Amino acid sequence: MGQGSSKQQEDFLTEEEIEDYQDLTYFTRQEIIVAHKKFKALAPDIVSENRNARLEMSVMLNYPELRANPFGDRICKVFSSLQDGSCTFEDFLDMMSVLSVHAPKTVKSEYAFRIFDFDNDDMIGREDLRELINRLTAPQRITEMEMMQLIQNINNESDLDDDGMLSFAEFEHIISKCPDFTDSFSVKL
Amino acid sequence: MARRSRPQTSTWEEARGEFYQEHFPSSQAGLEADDGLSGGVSSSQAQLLNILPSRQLLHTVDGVTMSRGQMTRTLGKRRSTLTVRPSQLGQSQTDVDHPAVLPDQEIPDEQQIWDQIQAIKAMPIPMDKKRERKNKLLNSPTFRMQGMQRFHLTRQKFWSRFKDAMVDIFSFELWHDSLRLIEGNFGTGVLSYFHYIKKVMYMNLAMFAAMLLLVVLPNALLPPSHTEHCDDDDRPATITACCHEEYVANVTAMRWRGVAQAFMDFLQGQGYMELTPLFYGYYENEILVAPHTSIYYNLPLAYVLVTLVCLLLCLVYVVIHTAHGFQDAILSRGKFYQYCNVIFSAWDFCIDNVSSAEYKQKAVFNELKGYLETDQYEAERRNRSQMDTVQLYVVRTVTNIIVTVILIISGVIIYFVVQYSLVNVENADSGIELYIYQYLPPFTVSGLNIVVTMFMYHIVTLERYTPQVQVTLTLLRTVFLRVASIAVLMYSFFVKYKAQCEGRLDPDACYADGCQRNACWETVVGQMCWRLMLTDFAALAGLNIFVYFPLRIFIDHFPAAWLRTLFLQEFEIPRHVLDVVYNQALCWLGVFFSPLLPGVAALLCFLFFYLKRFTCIRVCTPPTLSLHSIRSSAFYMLVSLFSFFASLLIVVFSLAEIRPSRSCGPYRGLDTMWREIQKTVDELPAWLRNFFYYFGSAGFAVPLVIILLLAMYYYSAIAAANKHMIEVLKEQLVLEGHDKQFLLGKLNELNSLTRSRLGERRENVVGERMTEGVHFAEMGSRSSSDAQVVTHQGL
Repeated sequence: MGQGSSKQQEDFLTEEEIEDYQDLTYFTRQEIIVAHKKFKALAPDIVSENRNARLEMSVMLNYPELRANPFGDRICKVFSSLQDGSCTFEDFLDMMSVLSVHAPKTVKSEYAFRIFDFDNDDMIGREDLRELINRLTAPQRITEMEMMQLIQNINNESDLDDDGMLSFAEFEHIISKCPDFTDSFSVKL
Repeated sequence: MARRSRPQTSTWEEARGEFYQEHFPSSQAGLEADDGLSGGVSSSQAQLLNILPSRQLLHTVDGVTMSRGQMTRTLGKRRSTLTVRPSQLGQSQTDVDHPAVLPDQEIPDEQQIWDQIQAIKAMPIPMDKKRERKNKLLNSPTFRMQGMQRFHLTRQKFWSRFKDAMVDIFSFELWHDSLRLIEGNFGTGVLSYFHYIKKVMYMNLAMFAAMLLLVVLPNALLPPSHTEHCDDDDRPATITACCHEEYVANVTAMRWRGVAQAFMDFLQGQGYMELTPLFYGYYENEILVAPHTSIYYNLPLAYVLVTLVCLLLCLVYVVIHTAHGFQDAILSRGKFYQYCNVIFSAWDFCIDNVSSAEYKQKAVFNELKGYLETDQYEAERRNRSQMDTVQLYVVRTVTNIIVTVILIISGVIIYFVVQYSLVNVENADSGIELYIYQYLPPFTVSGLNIVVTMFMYHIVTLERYTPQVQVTLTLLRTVFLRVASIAVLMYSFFVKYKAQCEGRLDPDACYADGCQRNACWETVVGQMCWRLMLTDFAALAGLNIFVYFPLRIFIDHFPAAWLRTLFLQEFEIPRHVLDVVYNQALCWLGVFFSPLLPGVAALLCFLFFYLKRFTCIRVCTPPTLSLHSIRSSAFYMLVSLFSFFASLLIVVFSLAEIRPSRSCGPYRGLDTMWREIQKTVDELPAWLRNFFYYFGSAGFAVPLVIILLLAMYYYSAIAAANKHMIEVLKEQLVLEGHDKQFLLGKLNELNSLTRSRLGERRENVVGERMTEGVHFAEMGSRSSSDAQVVTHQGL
């Protein structure tokens, strides 16, 4: 069954690739195989032909943790190699590696900063915070006054150089003071 | 507008002088860019911001983006070479592999290469760039290491691969599927509660294994070296042996009286249960010896030592787990970063279904509203009138008094119930009556726990504290109630026993009149603990399965709003934590009187897990108030610690005050249980004995206390100094931020000034010059000498 065996080779990861991924991510061998299985479950036909296929964002958002997450689309965009939300298996592996429990706080805070920076200007400004709070509390509405108050409070707590925006250094500083961040910013495979 | 009318021939230096005359933040029109910075950034401003060194860190170096944190750290260490950096950034460097490796350094050796490869994982770049980098590192020329260093590297590589393989093989996690289900539906707060149950279960299993191996098995397998026999002629001398034989005879007579009775005996711990390894009365008071060998095993010594060591290890375990999370959880949780904590780490990324996500969103909304209300309340509080403050304090004092009174009343109720039941137990025959009297105290305790807890949850709302304080206060009060109820139970028993049985004991009698049931009081205490544990678990299970679950089904079928508000429960973690803590407190209390009790506690923890899982998933809804889901299990461990010390106090009190019973146990006939340890210590060599005695003397305690006080003072002084330093640095940072905005504004103005002047002369190439203007500014940021040329060009 030459046809079958060559199809099999396309399907599964080679040993070389698995070892490579072990060096480049925080996963062990088993976890990489499980990750590939889950990736395949999103679009079995496409992934059977090319194990590193690129899946559209709408397909990626079928993954349960991403679908239930108000920031699911931002996560896909940040980890996507084309920056448009479509992910290959390597992007997906990268995503799961950063979101795994083994990843250190520095890596997580870097990516969290990118996810929360909705307008991609390398600072979390007022509009970013507004969008963030709205997504967190939808469909409950926060009044305009409360929103202003919240943004003001956040800036009071975290904006150290008083420019009205959070730079990465300030964000990292705040995250280091949040004890729950590592636990909440994690997804188990 | 003074700046616009500046003479056109002013040089950079003169302009600089003028800058210093301004005061910041300037109110000039040119600096309306200030608002632009915090709101939207104009394009020229954005261009300026992008050429700042802190933004340059994002630029690719050698095709690879470094993480910002890494960059600042490596650059920070090599500050002396920073003059090289800004001009080289953005250009490709063929001879520099890594910013940390300067061109004049040696070729890196294998250890460095390996370290750098390990560090690739932490880089925030896509996978293909990571792979490129790894291949580049692998193919770069390396310096081959020799000898010891090479050995170290090989060992490191082997060890990391071995660890990974081990993790893959031994990846069994108890209750993995249940925990994933709970995590996906409820988030990490509820998950931490179930992790806590698991940890407590493992701790109990470890204690059980230790007691089993070191106390129960030797006693069951090895015979005593010699047994005393009762000599009727010389009764006072062999009184312990006579009493023991009588006791054993009595108990064996009551062993089997029918199936129904056997079941009741199981629940009460009597009859055939009484002389099992479960209770204190089973154990020998002699040194055990393996037959035909000379292996000795001093059981009485082993009994007390193993128990003490087990308790000590439990204490260490609980303290370690508390300390792990204590600093993070309790100290950082203050009012300092609460908003940021909510906004940035409130969302549990592990939630995997949409309905739980909706609950979570509601929870976040409620928490934010709660914080805003608290702040408003605090603001009001400061504005509160004298009258209001006085009124509030009066209300708080009254509620505190009411709570104390209720606690005292509960204590008194338990005391009288125990006395009543003890009296009637003596006079009752076996059967239902006896059963009822014996189970009366535990049921009273459980009932009071439930009722008073509910009352305390409602009364705390009157006191108008912040939600955080409310939860902590209620938790503390409820813990105190539970522990105090056990304490009162034990105390009333001991008081009765001492008054009635111990005081009137003749030298040649086994027990005083009317005290036959308490002939072996340690076993009676063990039985009480056994009954308390069973009752508590049964009450909890019964309540959840037969009351709350049908209610929930009823509410689901008749969705009326008033029903929901009245009866629908959330999974409030503090309340459920207390159940586990109470169980554990009973276990610690009873371990001395019933060596196998940790095993029973472990089994109950196992059953607890499933009961709570059932409650969580089928009966309750996810917690919408985030303070009902305190996330760190360190807080729960702290509550465990408090109950540990309370249990320890009770045990020590009983051992110190009451003599061991004459009829049973490893210490029958002795004055106190410590006698056994004292005998052994006396038999040790002199230097060892003095060593132990030194620990108990004042010569050790006083220097220890002094050293501890000095250490505390030293650390608090350092903490105060650091705090002051943080304040100073924060202020400085704000000033630097203002400086930066000011300078950027000035620069922007200079650019637009230049541009507008150029625009007057050559309108058709305005676009070109605008970009040139940016280049001017770029070059201007490098060196002032260049800028001289620039300004001359521009003007």
